[in-house]
Amino acid sequence: MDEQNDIVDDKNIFQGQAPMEVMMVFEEEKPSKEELINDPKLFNSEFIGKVFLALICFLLSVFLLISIFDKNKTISERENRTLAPRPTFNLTELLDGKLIPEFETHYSDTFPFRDFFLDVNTKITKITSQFSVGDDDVVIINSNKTEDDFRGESLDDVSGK
Amino acid sequence: MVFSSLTFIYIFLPICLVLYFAARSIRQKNVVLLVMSLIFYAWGEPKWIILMLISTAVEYFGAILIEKNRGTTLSKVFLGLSIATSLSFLFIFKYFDFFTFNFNQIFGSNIGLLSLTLPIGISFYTFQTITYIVDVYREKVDVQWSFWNLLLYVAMFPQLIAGPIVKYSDIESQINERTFSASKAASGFFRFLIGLSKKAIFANVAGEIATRFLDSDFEMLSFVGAWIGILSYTFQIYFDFSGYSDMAIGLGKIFGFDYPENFDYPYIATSISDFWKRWHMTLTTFFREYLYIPLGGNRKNNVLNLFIVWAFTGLWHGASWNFILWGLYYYVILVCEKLFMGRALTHIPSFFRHIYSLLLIIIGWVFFYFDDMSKLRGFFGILFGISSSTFINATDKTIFANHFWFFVLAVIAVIPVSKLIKRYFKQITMKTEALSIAGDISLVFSSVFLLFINTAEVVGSTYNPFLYFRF
Repeated sequence: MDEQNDIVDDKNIFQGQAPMEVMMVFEEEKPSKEELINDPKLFNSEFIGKVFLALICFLLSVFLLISIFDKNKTISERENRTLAPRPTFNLTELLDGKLIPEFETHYSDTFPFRDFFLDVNTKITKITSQFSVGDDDVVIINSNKTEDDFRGESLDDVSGK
Repeated sequence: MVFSSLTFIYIFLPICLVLYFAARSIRQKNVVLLVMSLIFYAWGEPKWIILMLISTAVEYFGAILIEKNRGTTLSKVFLGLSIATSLSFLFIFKYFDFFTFNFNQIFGSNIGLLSLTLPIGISFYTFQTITYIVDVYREKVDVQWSFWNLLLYVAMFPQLIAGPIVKYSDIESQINERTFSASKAASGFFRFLIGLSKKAIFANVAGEIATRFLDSDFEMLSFVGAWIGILSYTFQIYFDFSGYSDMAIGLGKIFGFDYPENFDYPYIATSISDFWKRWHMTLTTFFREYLYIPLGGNRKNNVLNLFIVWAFTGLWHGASWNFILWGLYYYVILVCEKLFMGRALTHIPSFFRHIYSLLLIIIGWVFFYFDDMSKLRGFFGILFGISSSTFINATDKTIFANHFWFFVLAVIAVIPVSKLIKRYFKQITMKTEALSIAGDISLVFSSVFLLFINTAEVVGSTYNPFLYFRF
């Protein structure tokens, strides 16, 4: 039972009774359990906390309900394309893991107020990134691509995109 | 299912929250959590849910057999068998092909590969079940007589697929007894949103910049470009993973669980030992308590034990040579720090200690990023200015100027500014009743704002991979 005693001794070590040099990378005191686990809670009031949770549940559920009842979206005028259709349920496809990705694409395509959120996102991107290189470099505005990405392509290909 | 997806935030989460809050007793709440967790897992991996169930069943019966045979050699046998079974699942799915491939290369044999897809979260839940069985053996925790409770511990969706690695002893007492507090749950949701922002805003932007350089044609890559690229990856991996941990810990709090912290501002480390006290802390703790110390710690064969631990740490991150190199890279540095450099470091100004640590950490991420050895070598050549064709080019300038404010914000986000803000916020809102209410209301508004911005980001981005998904 020697080996067993070994393990028992070790158990005492990580309860902090043995010399610190046994630690793998730890030379200083470990942060106390309190510090590690209890991230101070920011909300103080139970009442406001409850109102907040109810509000969040309400907001998220509204989106869920809209997406359940609004089934008529098939094309996006903004993006000029047909949206991914809702996949029909099929057990083999589900088990193969093909059904869920199809559903995910459909869901993000038909997400409530999608166009509005896309506009917001474009605005944020515009604020945070403005091309600011001068000189004689060719800069393509409203694209994340740089000149290197277009190397080897003809101008017609690029402008057709 | 990924936390930063529309299906999680707007389908799974509302259903889960409404059912959880509607449930009255802790028993009902646990049933809701268990069922939702299984759906969460099956969502991405319908087939391999069976593996998680088997793995949990093995540890469940293993622990009971250990308890029944306590004090005899049989208990040790059952401990060994349970651990071996769990690890063999991990080996077959994650490492078999890697070892077979290399075996074939060396010996010219032709053993077939399995080409299995890696079940989501297997590296995390395997370790979690090991903490259970080992701690039962060590009599540190009681046997869990309810299979469903044990399964709830293993499968709980906040920490199921990407950590933190929660030891069974951490939440043993919370499974059947935890108090519900609306302020704690609300704070948890706020923390979830902070983590979501790290992931959906910071990590994704950093990731886009990083791939543009790191995946580019090395013939064109300049010296400065290589550094911007690897620096962006340094940001990406931190925001990605710590954001995920924040989301997990925040979700845990909504359901009344206290998970251990996983990150403590790792990039302000003053040495590499310090870095590993701050980076993925639950993994380091796991390896220390369940591998390093049982091997003998530093009482015997210290250098060998460290070698084993760090080789395994590397290998845990992926079945590829670059991860092993990454682990051993840290092994060498840590041994040096232990032997002489650690003492030397205390004599130099802290500014240089930060530079020293950061440089080594950033270089470490090069090993982590490139699993192709020739690319790894090529990139190092450019990074150290040996084989770079130019010092800086127009692309570098454009991208840097374009993301200047992003980098400023990212630097602020990796240093403990938020910790200070949190502390002052807490101090101020504790002063008077009015300030406390004002503080809470400001949190409500900022949460709604964050939710709004993040939704726009997630809707707008098709780029949404979780780095830690393949582990």
